[in-house]
Amino acid sequence: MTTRIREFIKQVRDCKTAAEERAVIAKESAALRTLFKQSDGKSKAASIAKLVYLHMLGYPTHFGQMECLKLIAQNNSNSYAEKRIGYLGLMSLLDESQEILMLLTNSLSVDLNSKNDFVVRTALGALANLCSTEMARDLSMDVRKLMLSRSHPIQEKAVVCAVRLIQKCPELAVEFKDEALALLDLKNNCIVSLHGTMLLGVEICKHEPEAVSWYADKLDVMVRILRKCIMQPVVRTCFIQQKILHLMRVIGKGNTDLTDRMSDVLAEVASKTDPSRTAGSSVLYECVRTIIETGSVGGLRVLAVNILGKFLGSRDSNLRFAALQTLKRVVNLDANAVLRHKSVIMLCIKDTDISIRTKALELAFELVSEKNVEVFMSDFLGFLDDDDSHFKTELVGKICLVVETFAPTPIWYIDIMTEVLLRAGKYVNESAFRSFAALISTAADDQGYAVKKLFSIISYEPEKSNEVLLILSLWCIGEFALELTEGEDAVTSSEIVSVFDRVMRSGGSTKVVIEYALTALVKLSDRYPETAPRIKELILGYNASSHLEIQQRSCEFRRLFNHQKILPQVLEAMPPILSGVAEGEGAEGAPAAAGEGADLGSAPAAAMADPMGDLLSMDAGGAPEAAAASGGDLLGDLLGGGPEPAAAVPAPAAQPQADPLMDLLGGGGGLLATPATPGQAGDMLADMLAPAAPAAPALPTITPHNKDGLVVEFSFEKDAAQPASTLIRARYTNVGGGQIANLVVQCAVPKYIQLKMEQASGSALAPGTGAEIRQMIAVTNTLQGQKPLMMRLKIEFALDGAPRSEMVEVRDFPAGL
Amino acid sequence: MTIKFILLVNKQGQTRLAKYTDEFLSVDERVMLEGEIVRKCLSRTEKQCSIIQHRNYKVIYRRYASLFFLVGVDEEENELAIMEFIHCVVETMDRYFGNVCELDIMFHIEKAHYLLDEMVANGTILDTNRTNVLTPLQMLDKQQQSS
Repeated sequence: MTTRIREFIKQVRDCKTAAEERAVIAKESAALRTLFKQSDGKSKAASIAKLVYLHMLGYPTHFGQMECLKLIAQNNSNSYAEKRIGYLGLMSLLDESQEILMLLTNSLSVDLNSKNDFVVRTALGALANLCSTEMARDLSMDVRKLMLSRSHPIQEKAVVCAVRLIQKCPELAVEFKDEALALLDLKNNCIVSLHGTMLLGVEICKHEPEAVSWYADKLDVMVRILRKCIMQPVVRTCFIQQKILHLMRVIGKGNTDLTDRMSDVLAEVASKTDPSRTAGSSVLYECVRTIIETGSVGGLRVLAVNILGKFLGSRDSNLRFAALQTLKRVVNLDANAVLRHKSVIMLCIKDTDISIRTKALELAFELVSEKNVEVFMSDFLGFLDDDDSHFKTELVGKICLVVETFAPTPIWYIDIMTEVLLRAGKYVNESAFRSFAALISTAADDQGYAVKKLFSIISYEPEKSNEVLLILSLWCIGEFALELTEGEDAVTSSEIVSVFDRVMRSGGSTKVVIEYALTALVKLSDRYPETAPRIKELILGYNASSHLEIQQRSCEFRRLFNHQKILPQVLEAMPPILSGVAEGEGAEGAPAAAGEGADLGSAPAAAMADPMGDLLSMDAGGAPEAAAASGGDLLGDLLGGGPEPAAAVPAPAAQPQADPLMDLLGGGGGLLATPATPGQAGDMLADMLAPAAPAAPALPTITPHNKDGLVVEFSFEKDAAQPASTLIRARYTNVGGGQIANLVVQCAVPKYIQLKMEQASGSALAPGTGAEIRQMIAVTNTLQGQKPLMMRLKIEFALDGAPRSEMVEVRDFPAGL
Repeated sequence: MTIKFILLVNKQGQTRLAKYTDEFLSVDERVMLEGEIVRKCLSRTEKQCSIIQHRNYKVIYRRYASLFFLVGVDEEENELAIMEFIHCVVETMDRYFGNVCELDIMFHIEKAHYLLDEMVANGTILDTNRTNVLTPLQMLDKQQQSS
């Protein structure tokens, strides 16, 4: 027997442990299930409230959904209370289960036409919260009728309901035109349904470009209502004012004629509203947003920015937050106006409140330009001592981006980045680190400066260095050691080796650091033959290392010393690194370079260049993204290192490249001695010297559907540059004996996934021919890592003329998509 | 401009009322989300602002005695308006329950939901007029008394 709700809640509250609570709830859930199974006609309304409570606590409640439907379908004298709780139950408990919603449509359409106003209101409220696309189509006529109902509460709810209908089914937008505009004309429009009317306007304009002009014609009405609102206490009208301002923003965007007509009333709102209460400031805030986003110029914009300035100086931190957020939009229009508040913004970055700090930081970085980057940077570096790690990650990420974009000289770039690496090395992200390495490798004139600077840090202030800084320093020294022993502050080669020795021995050096150190050392041995014996000894020391990668390297290098002839070529400096955007271009240019190699090279070189040329031209001609991916892979390899995300997820397309290269290396030393074009040398060296990136498992193919002779197969491709996106190649084949025609496959995905489907290559599959239809589906999982990829397929086709329709849930995507 | 969820949480961080609009989250996801947000909000001091950013939500919260009202919105929403809205909700609850407290909401969870349903629909503010909002609730109470 179930208990009364009050007692039940008390029981739950009295539980001292989670286990006890679970026991109480399990008992009650069981009782509820039995209760719902009895069809004794008695009302179970009171039990639904318990389910809502259970649901809130996070326990399963799906078994109550049908009971809610039963309550909604009742029609007796007491039905309002029962329907109300039935709808509440559905709104709270429903998961995305289409079947229940389909059953609901009928009850809703009955209730929307009920004689009891309260029932109509409840049904409208439920529809506004639950409506699906199908329901929107089925019930749009009922809602349209109710929008012009004489009862204000009904009208108000119907209008908001209409907004939802259009959201779910955008093609309905046009149908609602008459009602939506009529609402604006109603003589004594009740101030409440105005609220929804404005929202509806915004929604219609979003889907129907023409609608902007419908509403532009009604601008005078809106202005009149807004004026009326200003006269009344702002607490009562603040929400209406906001909605009107929002609609004005939508229709006024980019229309100077309209914005001129709005300007008077906007100025009035901006000057007459009292900002001392939240209601007032919320209206002001909305008004400022409208002024800014409609692109008003002149006095009005100055007024808006001044209001934001006032917000910014306010003691109320919420106003400061709002101001910082909105000023970010002003930056694009008028950066100087925002720059005037720089000191306050900088102060906000030091605020104790993380929300304010993050917003201020975002704004400050928006303000940075080529002209002022040096001034800003000194401030930013000052914030590096902050100890909130989340904030620091963001700060460092942004500093790196700004340095990369606006650095006036390479020397400045090097100075700032070294400083950042020194003080917050572990927060520097992969790509910033790579760009920095690329800059050093390309800036031939300033390499010496960079190497000396890095060397002095790791040799004189080793206690300050960290892993990232060490890796970069070691790599630079390995590559550009010659710069160190020349010019001012020159050091001797044995000093360099001593520093290496110390770094490798120090307890703090990680495995990756030692890997880099080994590679750099072997290069040093070539630059300074006099140090070779000592280096050999150092490398030998790792021959029995328990880290596989380190052992592998040291053993390889040891063997390398036996091939004195090829040593200089193998160990020559890396070609300059192409970074960022240049990657794509680099890949495009590659076939030409490969061709050249074939011409210039000796006979074995030509043989070598051949598979390479094929490979590269295939890449470039095939899919641009594949080429970019292989470019990224190559870069990843260049920098070596195990834990690199770019190298860890190479697209399957990049794999063929590895194979011929393996062959190449298998071909032995003779090949390597031939002069190669820089691109090829880079490739070879990369693969030779870097730890092999963990071989990316090709993503397995899945078969979501295999029935009635129709087989649907998905294979996957990933672009390393966009790990969240996956290209699905769908392949449909007919393995049965029947004729398949009119094949249409539709996909539905949860909201966090973006989906783009290309046209299928056909719609008919004859039996036994082995014919296939192909279709590309591009998906982007915006919550990659948090949520798995999933989709629902609707497969419709005619099998020997008989229509078939199938729904398939696809959940078995390879992990990590 | 959408309200994604409304939460009422007590000082200990226990959820007392949860309303999600058009966010289909599984039970586990929901419990996790609530936990994260509540931890973040409750650890803040009075002087800090009432807005936090969490995942892709902005969460606006206000404290009334031992109860926290949290509203999650999308990027576009006017935060100050939500602050005002929370106050409207509290005033309306005060009028209905008479100086509302945690227990009122717990023991009349369905009433609290009705009240919110009259004020918010489809993630937008529907009505903030106390009399309008409370009419259906009072009507229900009358029905219950007579039966």
